[in-house]
Amino acid sequence: MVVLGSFVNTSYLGISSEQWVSGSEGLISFKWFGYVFDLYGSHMLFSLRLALLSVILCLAIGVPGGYVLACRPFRGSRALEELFMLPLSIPGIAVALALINAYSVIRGKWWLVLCGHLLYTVPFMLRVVTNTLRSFDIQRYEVAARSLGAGFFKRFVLVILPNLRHAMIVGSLLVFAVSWGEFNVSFLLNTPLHQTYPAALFATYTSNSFQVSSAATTLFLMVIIPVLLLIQRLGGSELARVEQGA
Amino acid sequence: MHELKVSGLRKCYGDVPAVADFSYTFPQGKITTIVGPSGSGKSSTLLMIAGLLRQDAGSIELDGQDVSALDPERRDMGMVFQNYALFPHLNVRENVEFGLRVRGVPRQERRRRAEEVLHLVQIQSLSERSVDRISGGEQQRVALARALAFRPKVLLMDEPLSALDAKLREQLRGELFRLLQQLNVTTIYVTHDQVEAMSLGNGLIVMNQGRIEQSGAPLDVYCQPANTFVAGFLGSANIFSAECVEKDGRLQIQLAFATIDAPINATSGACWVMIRPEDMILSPSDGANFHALFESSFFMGNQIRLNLSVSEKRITMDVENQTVFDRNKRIPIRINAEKAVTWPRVSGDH
Repeated sequence: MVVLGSFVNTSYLGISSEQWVSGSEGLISFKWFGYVFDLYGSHMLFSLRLALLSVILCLAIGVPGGYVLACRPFRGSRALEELFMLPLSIPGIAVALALINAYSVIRGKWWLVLCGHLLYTVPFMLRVVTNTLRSFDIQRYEVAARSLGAGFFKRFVLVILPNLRHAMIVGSLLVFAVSWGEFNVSFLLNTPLHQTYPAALFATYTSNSFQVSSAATTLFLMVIIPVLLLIQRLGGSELARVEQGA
Repeated sequence: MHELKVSGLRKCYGDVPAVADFSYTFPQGKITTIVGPSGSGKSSTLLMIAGLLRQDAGSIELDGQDVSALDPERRDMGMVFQNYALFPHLNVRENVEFGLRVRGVPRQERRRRAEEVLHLVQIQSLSERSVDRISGGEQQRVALARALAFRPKVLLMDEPLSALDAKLREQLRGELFRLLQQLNVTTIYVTHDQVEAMSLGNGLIVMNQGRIEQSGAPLDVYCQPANTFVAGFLGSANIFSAECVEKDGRLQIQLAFATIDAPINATSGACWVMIRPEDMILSPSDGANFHALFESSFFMGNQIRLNLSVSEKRITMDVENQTVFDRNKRIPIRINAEKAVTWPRVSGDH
């Protein structure tokens, strides 16, 4: 979050200077947005698709997984949980290189990037879900549901999922934000056909004009800032615990 | 109405038996209370009947069918939990409808039956309220309504009133009694509160250290406790060692400080004798069995409990709340011998 914070700050400076420049030259700044769309539109779409897929897959993995880890602990379940958290403490480059080495045959497939993203996003969803399940006594509601005649599937759908609604929303927003902004893995696992938007931003910074870079950065922020604001608003407590956990 | 027959139920934690050989037939449509101190195995027994705790041995038969291997969700037993465990994401009516919903009852029918049960527990006005916006007493009613709505074969209640304050508890106890008598549901009610157990139950089971000490109608168990534990646990009891001698068709109970004359209904020889505080009666000096020294008193509202001593034995008795005594005064007491209970005393047993 500290890294993200400083990132947001410097970029904000970039936006204001761009507006200052464009102001002195007349209302021409929209031209750069159009240019960025033409140039990097496909990257944006790819990144959006990755982020949304990450959200869906994280929900599919993190919710049942979190339930098992929190409510049905087994031998070694704590260790497994730590294993899931591990990618967060390993530099992205190391993870990317490890992925490339491990999957050298399939390198170049777009979904390898998705796998990289999942390594970084699943822990967030998992942590939010396990924290929520551990913070209130879900077992007692499950026991009550059993006594009322609900088998496992009905308990999961009618009792557990509704009580995880908030955690699932906060977790999804986190996953979306992490996936949208993820650079290391995206950059190293990129194929020419499938580049993520942050990787495109890097290309812009190294090769394009200041105005184009600023417009591209602004577009990046226009997606991420509403998400961050929502996280801030909805997920006060969950977020604190996620940071602690991560 | 449904009959529940439990035989040889047993549960151990490590080597310690929490429940040892619990056998009882719960009569159809009646309320049976299980009472005992904490750790007596009463809650474990209830959880095993509900299926929430797996027994080590024994069987549970519902209407002649062995249900002891069934999952709790397939036993059709409604349960009211100590902490109520109302679903926080559902409102009052939705909580009550839950058991019907998982049974696939159509929405209209579900709603009608929920309203009906809510009416029965007198909270129909709260049906759209969130469960954390209602009082503890109301939550208790919702929990009861939820357990009753799907018409369970057996109703299980695990200390349902213990989270409430004394006044409310008394009020709800009365309502619960009327409601359950009216519904004719086979009910098992677990409590550590002896007053609750005696006033609510058609039948009463006293448990201690995983075993049934005694069972029967509350009045019988209170008046004829099977042993010193039951005598001391239900109400207060003065227990003395004595010698019992048969004489002229009556029983002479020779205490260290008095001899009383009781109807012959117990063994002779060395015995324990129990006399309830209410069977110790203030009397004129000439009719007294003995005199005891006044030590202290507790004002209890409707009466005063006296602590007395005689021949180094402590005695408690209850008197009218207006009575005043001086310390170290000798008080003349008559014993209502008809109500005295005796048990044979094994040598070396004190």
